[in-house]
Amino acid sequence: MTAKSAAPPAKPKPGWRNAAQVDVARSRWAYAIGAVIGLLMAGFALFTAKGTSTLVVPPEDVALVNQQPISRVDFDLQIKALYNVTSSQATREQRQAVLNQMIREELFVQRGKELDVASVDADVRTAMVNAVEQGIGADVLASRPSDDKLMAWYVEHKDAYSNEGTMTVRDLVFPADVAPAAAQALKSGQKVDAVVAQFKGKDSGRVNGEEFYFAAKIHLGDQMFNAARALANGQASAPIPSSDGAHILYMVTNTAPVPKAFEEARAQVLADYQKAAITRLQSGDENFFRKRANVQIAEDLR
Amino acid sequence: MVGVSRRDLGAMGRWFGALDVRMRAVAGLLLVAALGLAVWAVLNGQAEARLLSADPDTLPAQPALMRFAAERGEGVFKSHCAACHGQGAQGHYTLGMPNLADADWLYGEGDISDIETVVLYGIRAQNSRTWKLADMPAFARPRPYPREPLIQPLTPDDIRDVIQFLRVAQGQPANADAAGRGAKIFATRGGCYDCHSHDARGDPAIGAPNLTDPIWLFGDGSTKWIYDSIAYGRAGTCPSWVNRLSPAEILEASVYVYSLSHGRTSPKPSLP
Repeated sequence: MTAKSAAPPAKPKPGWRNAAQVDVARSRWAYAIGAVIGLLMAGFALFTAKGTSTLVVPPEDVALVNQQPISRVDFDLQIKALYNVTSSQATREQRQAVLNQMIREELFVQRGKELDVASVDADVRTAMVNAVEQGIGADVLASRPSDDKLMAWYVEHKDAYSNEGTMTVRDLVFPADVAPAAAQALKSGQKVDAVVAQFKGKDSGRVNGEEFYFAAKIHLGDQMFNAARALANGQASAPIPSSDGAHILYMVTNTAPVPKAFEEARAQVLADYQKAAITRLQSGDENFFRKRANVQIAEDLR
Repeated sequence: MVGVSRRDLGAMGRWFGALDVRMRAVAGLLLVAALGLAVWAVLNGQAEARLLSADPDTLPAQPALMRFAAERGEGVFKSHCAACHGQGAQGHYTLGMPNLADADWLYGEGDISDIETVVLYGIRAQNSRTWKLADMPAFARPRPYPREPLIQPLTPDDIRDVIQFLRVAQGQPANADAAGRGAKIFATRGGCYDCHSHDARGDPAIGAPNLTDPIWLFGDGSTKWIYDSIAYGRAGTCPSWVNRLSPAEILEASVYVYSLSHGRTSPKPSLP
């Protein structure tokens, strides 16, 4: 066993609170690592941000024209549309032809922007208006409303989700002088054909078999349709004077419009809900555009 | 200018050595994790680049790339598509959302590029390149199809006759006389043949469903639902995701959808 020699005085541990104890080497390392991370982040942001000039064509594109990408998907679609083959099945010449065409289009679009074609070409203006409107609407389609919202919409607009009523009605024409008696006979429950024969009536031929309400309305005219619509099955109307005699309507079956159940109407409810949301959003955007714009109006039109 | 000398490296080593075991373990783990993350990011980036630059229809022959895309696409699908198509992509018959896990394709032939086109530009979406060539007319309305004024309304009996014709087309029992009348309406004044083809097998170029199979886009195939489709029309929609999702996300979601009905990595059968 050797005797323990006296230990040297303990070196104070480095600490950051006291400047005299700061470990310079460690600080430099921390500084260097921070700088590298910062540079990496800056580089990543710089080379991936939109509008960044780059020498590398991104894998999702087939070309960059003045840094404006030509999408690979559009290129593939164009090849399929023109040659009915996929891009890998297309020949080099076919691919080249499509690419050249797409580059030409992009160059002309860019030139069009330089020339401000939109300010003079009505078709371009219309296309731009449509594109902006569609862009606003696309946000609505991309977000599915909850079932609760759809149900609330359905409850609020239930009448819009009714099916079309149908009726099978006979439009009988009688001489005006016997029409009241014929109507009375029909109301008393006599058979229609017997009443027609007895009072020398005839079928007008305007309606034939079961018809939707809208069709019956077109065929009978508003006055007679409204009279028919109020009839229950087996009822006859009062005589309705007309140039060709007196019409009596006899209702065989009348099925009034009935609101569809939510499940049955759901697709239409969704479509209507989205349509209303698109209209609302487009209107809101228009208001915003107007607010931020400096619109000056000629004195005579103020 | 700050330089890092050999002496500094030595100091760094000593500093690391001075740490207790737990701190050394944590520091080591962090370093390994950072390196792993960097390697993973590089490999992922490379795989994504290969995926994006490939012809989509050749992907089924590249199982590793398919697996990579389908795994990532599942997340995209569940975040953006499942709200309508369901978590299992089984669709929703009251909304006309098709089942994406079966082999029946409404638009196109079910190739990855077909699916990708739908994801990109949607169906009847707010996009000039969307699929919107035709809607199902509403034959119980005065103007069944405003885009085509020649199409005239049908009567309730006409609609019932067409349904009988469809029952025959599906190999189901039906009233022969009514089916005969329905066939005539289908092929003439109804104009149904124009989209659904003369044999009622549909047209994937315009998204007209095959009416001879047991798969129904809207409803359950009952007379009530078919009647409603003919009487009041249909026009389902799918949003356009171009400029909303990245090209990689769109392709990955398309690969995922493709994989649901084709098996994750099975190659596409070659044409005869």
